[in-house]
Amino acid sequence: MTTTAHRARRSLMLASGIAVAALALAGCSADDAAAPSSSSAAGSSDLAKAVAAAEALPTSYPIPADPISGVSALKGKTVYYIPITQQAPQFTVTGTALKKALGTVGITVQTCDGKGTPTDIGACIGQAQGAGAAGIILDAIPYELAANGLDAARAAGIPVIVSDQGPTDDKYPADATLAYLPAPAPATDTALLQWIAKDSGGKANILINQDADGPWPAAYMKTALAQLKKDCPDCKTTINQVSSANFAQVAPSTSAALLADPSIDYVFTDFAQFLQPTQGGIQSAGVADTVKVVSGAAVLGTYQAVKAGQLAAAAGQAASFQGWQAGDIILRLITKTKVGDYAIPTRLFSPTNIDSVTLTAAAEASGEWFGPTTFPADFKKLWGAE
Amino acid sequence: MTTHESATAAISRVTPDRQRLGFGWWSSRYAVIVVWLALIILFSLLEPNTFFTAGAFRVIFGGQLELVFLSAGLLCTIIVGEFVDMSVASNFGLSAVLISVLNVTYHWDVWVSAVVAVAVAALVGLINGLLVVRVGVNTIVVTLGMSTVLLGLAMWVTNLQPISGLPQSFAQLALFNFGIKGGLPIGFFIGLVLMLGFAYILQFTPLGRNMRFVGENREVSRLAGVRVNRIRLGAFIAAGVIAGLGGVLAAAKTGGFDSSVSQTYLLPMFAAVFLGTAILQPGRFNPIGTLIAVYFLATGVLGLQLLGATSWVANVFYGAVLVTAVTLSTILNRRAR
Repeated sequence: MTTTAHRARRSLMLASGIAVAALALAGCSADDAAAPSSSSAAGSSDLAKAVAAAEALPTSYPIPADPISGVSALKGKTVYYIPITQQAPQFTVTGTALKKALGTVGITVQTCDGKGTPTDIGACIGQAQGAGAAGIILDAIPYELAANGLDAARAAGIPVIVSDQGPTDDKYPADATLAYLPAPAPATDTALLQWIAKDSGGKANILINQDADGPWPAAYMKTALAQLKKDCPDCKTTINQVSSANFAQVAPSTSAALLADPSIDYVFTDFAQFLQPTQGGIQSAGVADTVKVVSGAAVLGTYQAVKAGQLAAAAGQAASFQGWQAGDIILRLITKTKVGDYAIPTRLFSPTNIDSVTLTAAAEASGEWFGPTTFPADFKKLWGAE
Repeated sequence: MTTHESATAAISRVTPDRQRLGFGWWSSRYAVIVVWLALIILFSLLEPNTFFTAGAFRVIFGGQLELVFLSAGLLCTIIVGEFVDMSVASNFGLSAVLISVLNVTYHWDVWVSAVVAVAVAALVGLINGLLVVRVGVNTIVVTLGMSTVLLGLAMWVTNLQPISGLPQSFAQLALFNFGIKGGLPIGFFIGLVLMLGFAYILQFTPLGRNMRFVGENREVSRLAGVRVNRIRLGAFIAAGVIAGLGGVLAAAKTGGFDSSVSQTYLLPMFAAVFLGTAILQPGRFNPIGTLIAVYFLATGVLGLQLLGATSWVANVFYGAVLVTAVTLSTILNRRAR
């Protein structure tokens, strides 16, 4: 046999030896995993009522009262929809609903992916202005991320909606060319933490994979954590910042956080786009059997995971209804009609109520998970598009 | 030198023993492994309660299934001299979303869905191969275009949404731990078998030798009677099959897949394959070196995360390690010769 073959056999034997060692070491039972958490339904009656209310089907959607005139004159116009990143599945649902909504009055919706970076967001806004858009709808993009471009667009007479952010921004107050459609994330984050508090009997140790794309997710979580402190004074939380701009690090950072604190028994990801890498990180850390996972900004796939038992709970907003709401607001801005206050409905899903909904794309688009499905007709009536 | 003797063997035959067994020879082959051990010691000293634990061992070795398969897929074509197949990650992603969509959305049997997903991935490899080998289009151009097409298709079939809901029993394909509490998942051993098998084929079979010949000199190989085009086409198909299998296992692991996730593996995949050329067989793409590189990189990333480094540090780590290791190996290998 040649010398090369000898060395090759040695290398392969070395590698095979590593494999045997791995098998042996795999039996090491220095188990760092957390003890299984209690799944008893302990907790105050107020907490139980709050969770039940969050899980209940709303009886109506909040439709504005005032009709809009002059909508028919907008036929043929284009509105730009710019989500912070199309990686987040919720924006697909909203974008599709918005397209359908404005399509009823002959307006085309052009979606432009912000890709999580100011450069791409700015390019989208510039594209909208260059194309003479009738309006711009931002989704989960703070105004300051593209302030120059937005200022220029508004100065050119193009109204802007900032949706899925805070209720307002003191630096950029709402006016005739700017409106806000606030994110209901404080409600969903709160509902999920309340569910955890109830499920754990008031003793949860929670790892929160918190989105770092912009300032508002941290603000939403702060609100929710303040409520958690009241509902569950013994609960412990650890924040792990994750970002869509550095997606590859979600899994390893989750594993590292779980290794750093083996007593963590709940993992909360505030946006569903981070759910699968989070689950990957949990599996790599070997605690998939002892950690319960919950997710915010849930969409169809997330609820399917709840039904399949891969997720303990999920909360989402009525993304389809939001599309119609955004359509209503932009029409009011364009026609210079008064814009009121808007709220996006939310709901919490867990094994308690997941079987009460039909988990299909059509059901998601219809909005039936969050209320009665008459809202398209209601909005069309307001717009004179029946 | 005979036509059936590799260049490396020829060099080894004429190189004096003193050079072969000197510092340069050893360091060019094992320096990265030594650095890996040094990293383990360093992180263990800095974070003894979190890094030097069975849990960290599990994260490093049990969490790289995707990267092992992706690296193996890339190796198939790179070894036969096709530089480089940019579509491996997207092919992997398409396979993962296909099995998810077919089973969860259209309620196909999960095993039938898996076969279809792998078959589609193999077909992608075949198309790549035909365009590159038969038509003669540049590899990067074909595979880069194909990568974009596959990513778009994955987003289309999922409607830009992550799909979840594969049967929990199917997850055992990647997560089964042989009943050993805290043990490594079966995915680790599948990846190990894949790379060991690949290494065996390359080193001890005529097919593997021919792949090396084709990678080193296509024309000489052709003159020596090697069926060069068949080898190259087969490499692309094998890359597709491996990417497809990896995608199915990745989907099994998480119960579904998100079409946008596959692109995040690009940098780690290339880092592992190129870093592998600095391990065991300096200057040569090799499966065992790549496997060690995968775990070396995972060790570094986890260690930095446990030390509290923010996410950008991982990108700097991947890039810096890659450049440093390959430069070092090139210099040491040149000195050893």
